[in-house]
Amino acid sequence: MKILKVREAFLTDYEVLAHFREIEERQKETARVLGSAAALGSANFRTIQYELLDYLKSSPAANYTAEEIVQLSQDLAHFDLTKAETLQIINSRPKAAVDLYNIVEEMENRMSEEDMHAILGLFGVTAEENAEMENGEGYEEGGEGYEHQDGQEGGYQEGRSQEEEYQEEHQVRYQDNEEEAKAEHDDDDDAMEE
Amino acid sequence: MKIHKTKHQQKTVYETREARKTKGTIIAAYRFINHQVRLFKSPRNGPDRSKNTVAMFMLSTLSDVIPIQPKHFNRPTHVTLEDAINAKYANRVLQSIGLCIALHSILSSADGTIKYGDGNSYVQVEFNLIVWRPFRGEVLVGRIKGVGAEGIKVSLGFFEDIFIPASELFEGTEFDATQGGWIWHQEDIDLFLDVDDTIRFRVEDEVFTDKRPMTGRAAEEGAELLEDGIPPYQVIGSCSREGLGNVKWWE
Repeated sequence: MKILKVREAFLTDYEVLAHFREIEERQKETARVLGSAAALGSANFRTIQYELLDYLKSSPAANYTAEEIVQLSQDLAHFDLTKAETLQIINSRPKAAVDLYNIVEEMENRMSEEDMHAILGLFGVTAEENAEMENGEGYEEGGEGYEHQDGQEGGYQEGRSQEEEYQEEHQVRYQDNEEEAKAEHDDDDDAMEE
Repeated sequence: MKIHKTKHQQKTVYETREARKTKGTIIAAYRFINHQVRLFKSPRNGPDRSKNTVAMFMLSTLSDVIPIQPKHFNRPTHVTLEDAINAKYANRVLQSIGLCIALHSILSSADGTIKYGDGNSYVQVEFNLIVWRPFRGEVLVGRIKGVGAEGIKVSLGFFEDIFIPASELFEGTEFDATQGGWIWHQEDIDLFLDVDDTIRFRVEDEVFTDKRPMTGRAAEEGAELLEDGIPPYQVIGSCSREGLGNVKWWE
């Protein structure tokens, strides 16, 4: 056995999946013509075929068509990406900025935020969804600050002012008017003490 | 004696050779020093544009001699060759190449020759093989197969030997033996990594271990026996950046 070339080409997940689907077709054809015993490959090959198909069918690459792949690779060529990164993006279909940060190294230096949104847009993540996701995280943080108000009086005002700032920025409305009224009431008390 | 040197090698691998004691000649005695060949020593800063960058699945061109048994002479040759190559290479690890999956395409094959004393027709074939070998920095999604104090074992279904050592997990994680999982302590929430969770991790390193059976001479000289538990190809991962970890955390 001689190894002529270790790395002849790279394959996307989709290409491997397509190859295995072809193999499956041929196996079915052989089984139909010659009987199921003749279509049995070796045990090792059957194992890898079964496990790999299982993995690939549950991966993001399972729903591609050939035209989509070609189109995607052409679109991604506009950005400054290495071949490995393009492959990874095609294979993993990033849904959020976080996914892209993990794939593209030093993304802050090489790409602007517009580029990032453009890449995510290729996969159907609209700019609104992006903003929602970022806001959503912020909302949770505001909620936690809100809970901290149940602590001591010393930290009470600080917690509340943070939450008020947050409310102004993100225009999130709290339904708990009672707590707001309580906060305002306490604020008056502190002012009087001073 | 062969000295194998790969591109990123920092240790050379020597094969054993029995010392030949003759008058006046220098006694050359080499031992099996270490069969582990570590690759991917490139620094962690900057994008990995080194020559060793590969994709998860790649094509490798190989050349081999495939015997065709007389009972298969009536079948089209390419079908027999494909079955034979798949039987020989599928699901096996080739050292320094990766996990071989399946035959992709046959590039060329010569006419078969028949050897004396054997009815098989031996065909020299050049072919492309689909090989799985993730590269450093690649982000993969797998299932946690086992947890322990040393780290987490992850499996991809078709490949089981992925290990995330404890040092490569998020800061602030600790192993809880009673609950049987890794817990990531944050200010207000505790996040869990248990068996059967889907985990997204980053590939950091790979370790090939040559597990060829030792020849008679080496066994006589008492070379170290490799433990059976070491897999021939092991992938080391990390799980310490944003976006990695249990898939549920980031949904």
